[in-house]
Amino acid sequence: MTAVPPPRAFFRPGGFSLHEGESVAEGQRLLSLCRVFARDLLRGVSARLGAASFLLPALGIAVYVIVRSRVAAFAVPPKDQTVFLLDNLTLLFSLNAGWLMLVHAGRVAPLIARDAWFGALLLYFSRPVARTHYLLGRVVSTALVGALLLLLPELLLLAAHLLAFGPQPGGTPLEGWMAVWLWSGAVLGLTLACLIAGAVLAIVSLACGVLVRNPASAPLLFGGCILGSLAVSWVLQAAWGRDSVARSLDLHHALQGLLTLGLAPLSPAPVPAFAAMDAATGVGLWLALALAGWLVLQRFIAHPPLGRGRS
Amino acid sequence: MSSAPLQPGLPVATLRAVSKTFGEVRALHGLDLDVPAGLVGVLGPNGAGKSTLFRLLLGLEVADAGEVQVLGLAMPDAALEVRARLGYMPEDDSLFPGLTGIDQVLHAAQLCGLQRIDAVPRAHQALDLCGLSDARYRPALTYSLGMRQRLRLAMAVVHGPRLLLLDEPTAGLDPDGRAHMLELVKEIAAAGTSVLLSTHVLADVEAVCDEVVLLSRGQLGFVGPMQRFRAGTGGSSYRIRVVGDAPALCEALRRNGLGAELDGGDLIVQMQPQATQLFWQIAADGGYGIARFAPAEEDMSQAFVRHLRLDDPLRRGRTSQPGGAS
Repeated sequence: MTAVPPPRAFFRPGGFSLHEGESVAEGQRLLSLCRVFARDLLRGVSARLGAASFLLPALGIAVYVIVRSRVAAFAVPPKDQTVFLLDNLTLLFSLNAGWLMLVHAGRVAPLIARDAWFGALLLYFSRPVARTHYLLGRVVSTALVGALLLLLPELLLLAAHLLAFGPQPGGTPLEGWMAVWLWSGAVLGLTLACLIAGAVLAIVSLACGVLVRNPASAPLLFGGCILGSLAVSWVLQAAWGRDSVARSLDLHHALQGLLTLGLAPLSPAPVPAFAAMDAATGVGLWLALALAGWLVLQRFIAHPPLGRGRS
Repeated sequence: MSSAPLQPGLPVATLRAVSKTFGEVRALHGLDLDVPAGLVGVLGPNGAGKSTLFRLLLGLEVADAGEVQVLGLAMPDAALEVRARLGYMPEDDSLFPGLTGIDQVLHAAQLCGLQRIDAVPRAHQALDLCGLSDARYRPALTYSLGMRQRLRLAMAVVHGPRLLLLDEPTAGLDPDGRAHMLELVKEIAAAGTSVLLSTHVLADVEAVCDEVVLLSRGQLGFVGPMQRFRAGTGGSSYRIRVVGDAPALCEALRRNGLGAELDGGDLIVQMQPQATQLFWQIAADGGYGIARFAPAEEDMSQAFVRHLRLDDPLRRGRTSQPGGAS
């Protein structure tokens, strides 16, 4: 029988007493802060419904995949199965990345700006929370939540493909370590792509909020960047052609470069030169934006506004 | 985080030759201060340096010169350790956005390093203590001003701090709310937490504080017990209870050149200590009985103004110095 520790009464009934309990160790503070911030992101029914909505496209595509594997009339030829898998993963990533950008615009971009607006930064920094820990906590929690929202549906779809077509994409018989190597490579590639996508989206959206320092304007700036990049890309594509670097200037499309590179282990053939250049340009663009965003955040946190309102 | 309560008599914070400047504005200038333990009122006019003092104690600002120690630890090096033992209730209407009352306090407790299993009961008890039991599940932004003030107090004390910094805790409260807030502050202090209460409401300091720190133009105007703060100017003013005809004695004193006036049944007499012989002579000659003879205490506002005047070079007719801001 497990001994149940007696409850500790920290306050006298109706009164105040000093806390004599254990505290979280200094090294675990950042972890604890990330947990608190992640819980903050998923607080409320609408946030949880929003998170669950990332699974819907995966479920839809999974049903489609299973139907095509079971119904002879829609069967995918063995040689096309890998391309079918890659197309589905890319389509799902594209849908969810677009949705995640919208979610970031509405919910993530205002986070730090909102803390500044409501004077919460003073509440954080007057407690044993280092400024860098606050910043890292916000970025890491947002990045991890974003990465999970992208990754879980992809893994679900990958599992559906495994279930439907077995571990032999492309019709090539793969057994033992070869199959394990291929699929674990795909999972690793997907995970890395989602982690990087989550991180760059988190940094850039938070930085947008910090730039305007107004929780109401932050979504407009981040959303404006995404839509602006799309508009610029379309205009330039009209001038330079669809297969030009102009395509990568669309930030939504550019994010998919991560997946193109991440899924390279699963690709039956080397990634075509244009696709590789397109992906590299997109990834480079996002990394440059993330670097600039990080500098903005660093500058902000060095001299944060410690009063209520836009100071 | 848990450490023994502070030793009575030892200062909770020590500042040595501390200066802090914001651009052209000198907020603190060579401040030497031992902040006593207990319930301490921090007074001073606007721009005296009270908020800067609090920010230095919290490690939110770094002194340009001098040394700051809080709870025996050097700031700002030990800022995180100090803040774990310190509670702060800001003057601003600051709250964590989007959270209910209980989540606010729980969040504050976890930020201070409490494990969730400890933080949950303490958060609920802190809200009970502050009289917010019925509103704990409401979004904090729907609270009235008084409730938000009490919520911020709950957030400041939930981790059981050794030192509590309260910046204008009664600002904007109605008389009932103010009385409740001051009762809470007294109860928290009685449990062994030292409290620094910064306010412009002198009556609040008078009601709860044992010690007073007065800042003026970034320098120390006064530090010491409340009685000494309110004591008259070096014994030149006396409160005297007369057995017999007090108005007649008042008249007799005036005729002999002593400043005297009636205050209720008592006489307030202005005289230098060496002139008391003359007073006793007049009282004896008139056959008046004297039941009480003690230095007259000023009310808080008189004492506040007098200490400021002593500290203010302009009012003493000396050359002006650049002022500070808090």
